Amino acid sequence: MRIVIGEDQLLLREGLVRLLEEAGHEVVGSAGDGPDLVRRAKAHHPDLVIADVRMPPSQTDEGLRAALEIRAAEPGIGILVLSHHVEVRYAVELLSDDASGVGYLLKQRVADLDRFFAALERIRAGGSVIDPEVVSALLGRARGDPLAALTPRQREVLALMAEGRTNAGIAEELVITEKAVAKHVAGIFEALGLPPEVDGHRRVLAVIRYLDR
Amino acid sequence: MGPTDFRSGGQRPAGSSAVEPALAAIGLCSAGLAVVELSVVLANEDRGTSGAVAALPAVVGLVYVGAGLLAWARRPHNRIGALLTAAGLSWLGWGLRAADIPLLAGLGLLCGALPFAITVHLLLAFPSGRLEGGAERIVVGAGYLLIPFVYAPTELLGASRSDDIGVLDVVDDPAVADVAQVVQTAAGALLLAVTAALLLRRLRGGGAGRRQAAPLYLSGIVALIVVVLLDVLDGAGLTATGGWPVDVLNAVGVGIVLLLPLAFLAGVLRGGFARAGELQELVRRLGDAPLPPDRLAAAVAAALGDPTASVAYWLPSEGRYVDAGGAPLELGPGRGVEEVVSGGRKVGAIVYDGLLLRDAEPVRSVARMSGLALDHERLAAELRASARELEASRARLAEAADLERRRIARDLHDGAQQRLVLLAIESELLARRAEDPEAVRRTAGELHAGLDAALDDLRAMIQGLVPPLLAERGLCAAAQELAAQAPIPVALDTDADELDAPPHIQSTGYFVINEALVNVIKHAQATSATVSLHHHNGTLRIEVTDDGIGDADRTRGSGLAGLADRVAAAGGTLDLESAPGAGTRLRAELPCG
Repeated sequence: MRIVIGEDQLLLREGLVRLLEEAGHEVVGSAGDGPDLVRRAKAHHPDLVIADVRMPPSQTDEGLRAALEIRAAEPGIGILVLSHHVEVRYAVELLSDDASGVGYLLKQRVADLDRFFAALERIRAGGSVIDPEVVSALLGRARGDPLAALTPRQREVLALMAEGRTNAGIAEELVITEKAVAKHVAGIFEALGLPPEVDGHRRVLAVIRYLDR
Repeated sequence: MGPTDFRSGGQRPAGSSAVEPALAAIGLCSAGLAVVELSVVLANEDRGTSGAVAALPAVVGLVYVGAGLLAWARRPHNRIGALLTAAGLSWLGWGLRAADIPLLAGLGLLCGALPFAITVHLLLAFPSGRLEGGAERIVVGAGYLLIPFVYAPTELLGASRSDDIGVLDVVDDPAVADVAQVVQTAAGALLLAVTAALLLRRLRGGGAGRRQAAPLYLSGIVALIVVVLLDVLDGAGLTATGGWPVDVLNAVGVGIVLLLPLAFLAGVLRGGFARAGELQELVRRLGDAPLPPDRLAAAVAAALGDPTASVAYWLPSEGRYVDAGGAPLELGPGRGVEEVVSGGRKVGAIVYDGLLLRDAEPVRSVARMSGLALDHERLAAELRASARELEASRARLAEAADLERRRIARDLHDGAQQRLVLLAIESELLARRAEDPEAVRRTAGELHAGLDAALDDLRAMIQGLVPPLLAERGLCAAAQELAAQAPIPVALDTDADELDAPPHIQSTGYFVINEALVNVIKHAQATSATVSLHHHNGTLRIEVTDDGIGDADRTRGSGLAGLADRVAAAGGTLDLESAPGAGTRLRAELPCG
């Protein structure tokens, strides 16, 4: 796929470009700051934009704002936001309008090549990918609400759901049957008072919206 | 040195050091004279005069001189000391009449009327040492004029007196001498009557201080009456024959004459009595600006006659009193506090012994007079207080920063550094297993997992140093995150999504909220908390309240002390309200200008 990268740390940017090109993707542009990233994304109409959150000139959430701007201007472009740390609030902002074709991962996940490339494909296909850290941060906030009622297994399943996994993927990851996963998912939805949905990323969105109310 | 550290209520003003050698010289000369007189008395004892009576002028003179010099040294601006000394010298002079040298004896005889005149002067000048009315000046002047115009001629005429030694007898005519004696006695009685009238008028018109002076006035008048009566009896020739009235009069006279100088001394030095004089003294001292630190306290203590009296300075920024050294004021039991106002503002207070000075009026007078000087010293005290606080807080901040660096170094050493060493070893193993693809895959997987863990460590550390959300989104977002992460419901009350405050102020604000919430969760046993965050007119106001058990003490938690230091370093103020059972409210105000 055609990709535009926004990353101000040169070593990381070059590493990412090499990685993507080795995997057969085409990096059509790379930017070192927010405004430049928006410009290049609009110029190249890539399949995917990979954006680092913290970038010049403000060294704040420049990349995230650029990603949201690109998304608003060209909804067809998939967005993957990377950062050295994850914030629940950023995940919610990225997903709240339209969760399709959006991902938010820790930078260190890039090194897990199989998962990383799978995530890229899911985003291009209109799915969503949320870092497990975000989910565990949300679960850590449980204060006497329905989440506290979840079993440890249900929490594991919920975390994998948030990553955008299908029931089959979760079953494989946890080495249990798909039937068992379906039971857990139903239990989670029941605990959270949500109707079960077929669409993977909608499940994530629903969970996050519910948790971050 | 604080104001409570003064050496005595009668601390000497700076200019008195030049006076003291002169006073010491007077004292030495007087003592010498008294010794000579007493030895003469001892030598003459066989002449038939009673030794005790003959020794009286020397003893009384010494007591007067001693009391006078003490009063003079302690209250250099008060003439009572000088007058007492003069009275003492005149008594010593009178003692010379017993001398064998005729000229000296005559001189001594002429001194005989001086104690009377000076006693009148003392009574009318007390307590300030100054004659305040025209009548007083006339009476005192008349008292002194009696000596050359009435007393001396009488003596020169050689009245037939018991103590007549005939040295100055110019005209030996008993008839003329008798008339002169009557004139002298009458003049003395008249003077006494007028003096008594003036003193009584003063007692009736005066306040508490005057009433306290009443015993002294009365005993002074009694002393004068005794002198006049003795004179009358003497004139009637009764003293020679003796009898009980003379003995009683003599005894009362000696007693009062000995006690009077001590009463004057006490009156000058101690509270109540000396107020009027000391207030004038205070005004003079305050006029000798600039007063060195804690001189004001000493001057006030002297003015009130309360050696424990001190001044406190009001620090409006902190809403409390401090002493001259900048230390917070502590009030013991029985301490009175009189507010001092200057230019319509509270600038300090006079702290005094409420038992010693039951009547607050003189304290109020002193407070009124010392306003300006106290305000001046207050600014100095404020400066010293903030300098002291600044120094302590700077030291604590440096210590905290050092501890923080050590913590970071330890975290890096125990965490990332250790892991990276292991990973370096692992990568070396990977190279050696190149022949075995399965082993390579396994080792590489371990390597990756190790690196992930090292990255997790670093991420957690960075989160602890400067939370990324604070750096990227500012305080409101970071505060929201803190509230969201808390295990109890924390409501955030803020009217803005973003604060236009400098980064370091936002960091301090974050630190405040974080520390406050940590305390709420750890100690308060609260079920909920509220964080409010408002930015108005260049001030960032943060308030963290909870519904817990309260009773949080700023000094108890080192966290709160560190917080106060950090807030102070940012130029802000921190305020803790935590009554037992009433929850805790922590307020911080940070300037954003």
